[in-house]
Amino acid sequence: MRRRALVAAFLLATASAASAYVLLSDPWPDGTVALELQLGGAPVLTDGSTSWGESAESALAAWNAVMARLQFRVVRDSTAAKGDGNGVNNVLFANDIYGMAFGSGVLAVTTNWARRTRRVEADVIFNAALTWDSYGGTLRRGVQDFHRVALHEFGHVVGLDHPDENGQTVPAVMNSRISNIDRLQQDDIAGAQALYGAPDIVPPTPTPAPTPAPPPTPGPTVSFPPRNESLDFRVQLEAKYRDGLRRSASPTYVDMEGDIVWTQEYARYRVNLCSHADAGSRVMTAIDSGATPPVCGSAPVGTAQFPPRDEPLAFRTALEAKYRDGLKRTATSSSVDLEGDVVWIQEYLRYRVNGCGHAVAAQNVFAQVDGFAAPPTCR
Amino acid sequence: MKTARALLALALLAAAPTPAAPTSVAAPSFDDLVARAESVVVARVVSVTSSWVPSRSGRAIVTDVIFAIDRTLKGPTYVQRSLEFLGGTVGDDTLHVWGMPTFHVGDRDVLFVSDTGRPASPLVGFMYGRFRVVRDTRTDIDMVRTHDGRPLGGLDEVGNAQPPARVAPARPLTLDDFVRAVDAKVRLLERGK
Repeated sequence: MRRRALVAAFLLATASAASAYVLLSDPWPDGTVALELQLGGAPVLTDGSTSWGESAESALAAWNAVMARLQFRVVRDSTAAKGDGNGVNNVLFANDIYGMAFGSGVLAVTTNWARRTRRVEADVIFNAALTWDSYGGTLRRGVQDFHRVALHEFGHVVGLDHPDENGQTVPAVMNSRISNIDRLQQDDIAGAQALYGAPDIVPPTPTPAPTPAPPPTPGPTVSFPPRNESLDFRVQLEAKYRDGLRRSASPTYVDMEGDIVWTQEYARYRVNLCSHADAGSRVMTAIDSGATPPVCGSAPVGTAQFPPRDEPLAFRTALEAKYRDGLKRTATSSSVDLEGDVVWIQEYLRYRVNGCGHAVAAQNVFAQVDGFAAPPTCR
Repeated sequence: MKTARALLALALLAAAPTPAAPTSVAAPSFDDLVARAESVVVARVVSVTSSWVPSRSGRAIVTDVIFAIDRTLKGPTYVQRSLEFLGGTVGDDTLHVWGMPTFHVGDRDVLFVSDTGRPASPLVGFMYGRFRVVRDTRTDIDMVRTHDGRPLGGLDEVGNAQPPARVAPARPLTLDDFVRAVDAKVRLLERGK
């Protein structure tokens, strides 16, 4: 093994405690990396995932939400060839590592192939001999949390090493030791963004039209619930995560009211035909100025379209940064992780704009949190 | 005074966080390491060679590390021993396996070896079966460090994410301390057979 590969492969990005992440020196080229999910079926898991693949997708979405120049693309139930050094990024359960034994106590292994200084392949292999579930919060003895381990292993695929094995002391999913941390921490995010940049929420670039466009046909915009009802749902969600799912609290700079108000505003702009960047920009303008920018159009009645979950998650991550760095808010805490926050708020709003009252919408969401299939909307 | 210190020690221990396990590998305790190792040696790296090998699904890179054995604490006695680790660099190609221990010629280590069945890492607990031996230049005494280079304050730190709470800072373990502890544990295990 060359010294270059053994030692110089790792770069200490910075010595500051706030940015203690450690990076592999061979990054992916900017763009999209396809991961072939070959994890097989599973009964409904504790966190409501209906398959290992769904839990893995959720972990990948968490990384996607914080990176600009690299995005993972999921190939569900892939039938691609499983092998090392074949240029295919396999994610699978197996009893060995392509013919070599895991050894006792090994939960999962991530391999990275690099040619010269460019990454060309990464495989994540979970030890099929162990007992797995997908759950958040406190670790359970004898049952491995697939989602938490997947978040960690995908962090290696991103290119992050263990900060705690490189002289750093920071809370991080990427620490070599598992803990009750079950979501990305600031140091994890900073490490990913040091490699691939942060997703920006930028004002839309005005594009001059060569000829005047016809005025849009006026129509009603999709209405959203009053603030007190949404806030009541958010309070119930906090209790559900804290008391029902027994999730531990993690720091957040966005208080509960700010969370529901601005996440709902983002969704309102999206449903009313604003792009992700445009919606994010308008919300930030509203926070800064107190004014309410107009929506971008009128969605046809009955077809309110909500964005894919990685986009509101990216917005919510940016909102966290806005409160921390822009508004200089002090940290509070929440038992609801960012992903659960945006997924379930959006789901509540989806029921509300599709004819359900507050109580029914909340009830439908909590049924899903408990692992039941999504009830139909009320139209 | 002794009672007060004992109470303080108990209080600190009670306040210490629950030991965590590593994400990818469950860290073995010192007793586990000794019990699970087929061989425990104090060794010096004399060569490191990476090569392509056929694998079940194509080919892989492995690294053969040859150790000169300075002392055998458990298992058969060898003058030299070769161990195979998954990963390495050949030409322009690198296979990096996260957590895999990496060696350089001249490294001195205490190794807890368990290589039956051709594991990806022949050490007990992947990387945790390696302890670095580092000469303290001030005292000229060999000290033992963890696989990632942290000083080891006591055997109770092996397999623990957080150093156990102590009333006073622990004296870092010397190689002699460590070897004596392994010897004692091996004798205990042999008596129990």
